[in-house]
Amino acid sequence: MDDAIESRVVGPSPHIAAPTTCTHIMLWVVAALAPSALWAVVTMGWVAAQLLLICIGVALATEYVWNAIARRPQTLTDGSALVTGLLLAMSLPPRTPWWVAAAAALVAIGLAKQLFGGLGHNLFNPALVGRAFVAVSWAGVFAAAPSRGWFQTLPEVTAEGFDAISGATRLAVAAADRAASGAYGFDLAAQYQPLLWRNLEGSLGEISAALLIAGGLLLIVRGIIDWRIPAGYIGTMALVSWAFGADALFHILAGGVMLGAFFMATDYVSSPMSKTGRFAYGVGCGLFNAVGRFVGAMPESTTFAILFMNGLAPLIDRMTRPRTFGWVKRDA
Amino acid sequence: MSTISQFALLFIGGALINNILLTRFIGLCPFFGVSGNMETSMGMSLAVVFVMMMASTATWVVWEFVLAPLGVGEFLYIPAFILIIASLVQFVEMYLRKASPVLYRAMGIFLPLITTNCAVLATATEAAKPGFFKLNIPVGASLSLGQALIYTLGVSIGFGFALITFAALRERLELAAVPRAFKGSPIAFITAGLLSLAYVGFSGWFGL
Repeated sequence: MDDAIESRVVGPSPHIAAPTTCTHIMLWVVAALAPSALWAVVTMGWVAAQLLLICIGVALATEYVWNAIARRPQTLTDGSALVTGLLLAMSLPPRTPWWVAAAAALVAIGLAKQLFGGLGHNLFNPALVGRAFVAVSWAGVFAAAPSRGWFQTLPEVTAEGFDAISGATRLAVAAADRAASGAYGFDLAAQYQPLLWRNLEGSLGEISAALLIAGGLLLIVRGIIDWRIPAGYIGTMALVSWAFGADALFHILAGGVMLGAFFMATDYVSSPMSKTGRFAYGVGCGLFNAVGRFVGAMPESTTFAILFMNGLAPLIDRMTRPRTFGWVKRDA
Repeated sequence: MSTISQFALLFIGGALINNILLTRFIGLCPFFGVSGNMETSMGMSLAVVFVMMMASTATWVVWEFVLAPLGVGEFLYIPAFILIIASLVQFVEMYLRKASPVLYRAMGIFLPLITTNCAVLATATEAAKPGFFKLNIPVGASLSLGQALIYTLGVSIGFGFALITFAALRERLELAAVPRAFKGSPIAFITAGLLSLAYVGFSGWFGL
């Protein structure tokens, strides 16, 4: 299990052993996501905890069973299955039926990761494959979950009668408004505060953009993720939203952009290796995500934008291959 | 709708939203056959662009001036188009071999492979006689020659793009510790499935 550290220069020995291991990196990612996950459990209640437990449990179980059957060394302790399960749960709406969440975790670890050879060999982000798989297979479940308004079934909400809370996510409402009249029927700027701190509509990971940004910055400062991917992603997202005549800040705070840009797109294995390539990859994610929101059939397209760019990552790597020091670029 | 935006929609609709390989699943034999290697997939992409453009031009002319006026198009178009495309490509291949050895070397060996390819036939048919794919393109019942060629260019570039993307992914698969039972074609099919899952994101763009 090789530890993927950016721009490592291998000189002649003696070498200094670094304490950074795969487990170390994975646990930092968990630590960066933990505040958001805990806040989701606190505000959304038991449904969020249930979803987290199912996704992480099934992910770990699939990893264990696969390794046992394939007679490979057990890899539960490297933490990668834990991160996949956690990311998957954060990408799902809280009232996802348990069997849909379990199927997503099974596909994420079994199909997208272990079938390709385990950690370090997956071509696509496992959590996103799991999410896309269930989103396409049980589209009705996903479409029904937000419009029904899961929180209305919570006892304290029905008791207090919050009749002003809409069931659909802000992005879905914005998309419907745009399709109906070309203008927004609600004040976008007034949504910054709820989106930043406490947003009950949408997936677990949409609970608080501020906590995700804090977690992402922590990972950047620790040198665990490359700033180029989120910077390219969020920057392009804002620019394209602005070009479409929309509120750029609303569009980067709403939906899965923060979770996608800091935690999904930055997966080492499925993102490009070179620095230029990473920036281009981030820009591509932002471009497809933003354009998908404005011209697509779905209000959100983070999952598919990142999966599409995962597919392009090997090609980007080929095109941005760095020049070997001392060698002259050969004319093709 | 202006001409420019119609052309743009035809191009994007052909290349991404209705990608012939990953959302229509037509032409999978070259997709799996030559994607094992980057150079061959590039040659194949070039050949597909070239052949599809020629085939669409030929079928459009034949449909517009022969089959449709005679009223025999509805039941004769498939044999007619296959014959026209196959013979045209064979003649071009013979001509290229003599006239332009460089071009022939770049894509010559792929020309006979795709003369009767389903993707080429489907695209040329769609360009001459829209309706098969049920594309929701707001251009009316039939395409003009210019529209047909833009559409074909979109489809063929989408084909090449998907093929080259897939070739790059498969190169990485070579080094992956895939379980023995899944090495080679099985994992390639699964990868194509996941890539196709990513293309689901384009469905419904611009209402297409």
